[in-house]
Amino acid sequence: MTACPRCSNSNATVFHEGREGEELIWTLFGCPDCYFHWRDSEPAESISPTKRKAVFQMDTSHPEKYQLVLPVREES
Amino acid sequence: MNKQSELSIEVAKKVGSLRDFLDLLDSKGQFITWPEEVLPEPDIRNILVAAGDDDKFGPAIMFDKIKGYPGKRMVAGVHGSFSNIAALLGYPLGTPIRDLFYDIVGRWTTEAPQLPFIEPDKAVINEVRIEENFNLFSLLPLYRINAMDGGFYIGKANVVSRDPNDPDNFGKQNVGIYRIQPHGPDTFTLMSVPVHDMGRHMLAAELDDVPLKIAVMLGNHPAMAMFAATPVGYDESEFAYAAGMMGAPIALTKSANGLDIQADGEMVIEAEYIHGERQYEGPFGEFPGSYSGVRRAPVFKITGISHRKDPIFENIYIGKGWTEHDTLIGLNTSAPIYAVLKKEFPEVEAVNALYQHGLTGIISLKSRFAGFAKSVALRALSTPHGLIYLKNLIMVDADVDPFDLNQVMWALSVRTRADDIMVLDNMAGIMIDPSAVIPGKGHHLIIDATTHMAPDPIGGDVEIVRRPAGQEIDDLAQLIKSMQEEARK
Repeated sequence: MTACPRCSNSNATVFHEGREGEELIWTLFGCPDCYFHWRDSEPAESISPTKRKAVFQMDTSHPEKYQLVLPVREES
Repeated sequence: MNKQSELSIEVAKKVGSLRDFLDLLDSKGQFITWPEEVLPEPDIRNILVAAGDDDKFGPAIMFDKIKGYPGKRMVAGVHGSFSNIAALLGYPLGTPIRDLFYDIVGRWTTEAPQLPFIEPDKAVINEVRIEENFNLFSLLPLYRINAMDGGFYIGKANVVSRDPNDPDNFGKQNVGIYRIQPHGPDTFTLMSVPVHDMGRHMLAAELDDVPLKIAVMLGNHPAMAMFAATPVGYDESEFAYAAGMMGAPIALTKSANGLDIQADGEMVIEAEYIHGERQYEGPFGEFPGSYSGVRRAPVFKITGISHRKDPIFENIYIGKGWTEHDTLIGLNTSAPIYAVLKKEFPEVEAVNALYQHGLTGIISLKSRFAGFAKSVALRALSTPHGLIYLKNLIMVDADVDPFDLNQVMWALSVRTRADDIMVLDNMAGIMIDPSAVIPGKGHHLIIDATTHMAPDPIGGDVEIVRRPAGQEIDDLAQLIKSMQEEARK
């Protein structure tokens, strides 16, 4: 398990490894909590928690902060 | 009636697929294959931004040496310049935008579309079939389009869905471009709001608790890519418009989950809507040139994938303009607004809604009386696209080419008074306008830059300088250009 650069939860897993022959070029991770995906070969501004602007970080403990783009039908 | 030329029909007959179009662009020097190895990030976006800056002549670019994705191919910039659009329509490179606009307007028809059906077992899109162990992250050479996007977006897919309450209606079957964020190996979110046809389909499926199956088409006929982003009527078929505009066949087949899809596409991802499920989506660098925030969006689960051998993943660069997004949809955003207005106001001459999907538009018309342009502007705001997109609208006279911003600025400079400006506040708007106080609401601004007419007494005695125009001037311009080229040698 790996820490997510966006939400800091530690549940991220490997989704794919980019290889050229036997050589590992990059590893692609995905976070099951905030759904951020990243590759470890990307520039720091995208994947480093300390370099990312704070406005792009997420707090998954407050889903109500994030608008629904399509309303969910209320159960009657 | 489609009024296209014989030459353009000949061109259209040669273009049945993305691959055919790339061949056509290649023959005109509008297609390049990037010669060096690239990393998915940041190389691809850097190259595409540089290419996209040239809205007149920027080429399509193929990447076939993407580090970590051996053997995979990705192309972008296919609609990245007006010369690429001109090539599709059978015009020379560098054809003025105004000419392309009138050409598309003349082809705006769904009459007698040529949509031959190919049996699925004979359709090239079904050369390779995958029914299990889906993994979007290994199947497609995905990359982060803008640095702070929340994921690796698919930005140019054509998504097919049927109206759950009228599933056999071909016209109500929708084809649209909606941004797609792969979430899991076999799941993705799709950004569609209730005002979209696709959003209507999802809401209807949930309301009646019926399944909603979709087909995500990748690597499409270039005319389909244009029409999937075009605001046509709810019961009008994008397939019919695309084939109608081309005046040539676009072959269809059936996806394994029962939707009409292009037979010669590169790939189709079949999926089913997960009712009630919403997952974090975004941010995404969108066409206003800003990131949309994180929202909770509908989720789909993949049920099957078909693709051509050695498929080409077609994607797009989108962000702060100018980008391929602007060229892809600009003319097809302008034409339907024109078509609606022209029916009721034949005085309308042209509509330029190229800017940020029509957030700013310019309409030229022959004014009949004082205040006429303002009334036409109000009608434009009630067209399907104008409802939420036409935020700023500039009205100019017929002697101003709305596609020539030098002329538009002249009209603003000399024909606008402070009381020629109307602000309609607290109206419907798009959710991703960064200037909106409330996402989804905002203002409409009308600037009437048409000349003053009776009974308005002010400015009525102004005589405009008549610029010499016509063939003689065109010939002289050409002569000057050739003399200049000679002088540079």
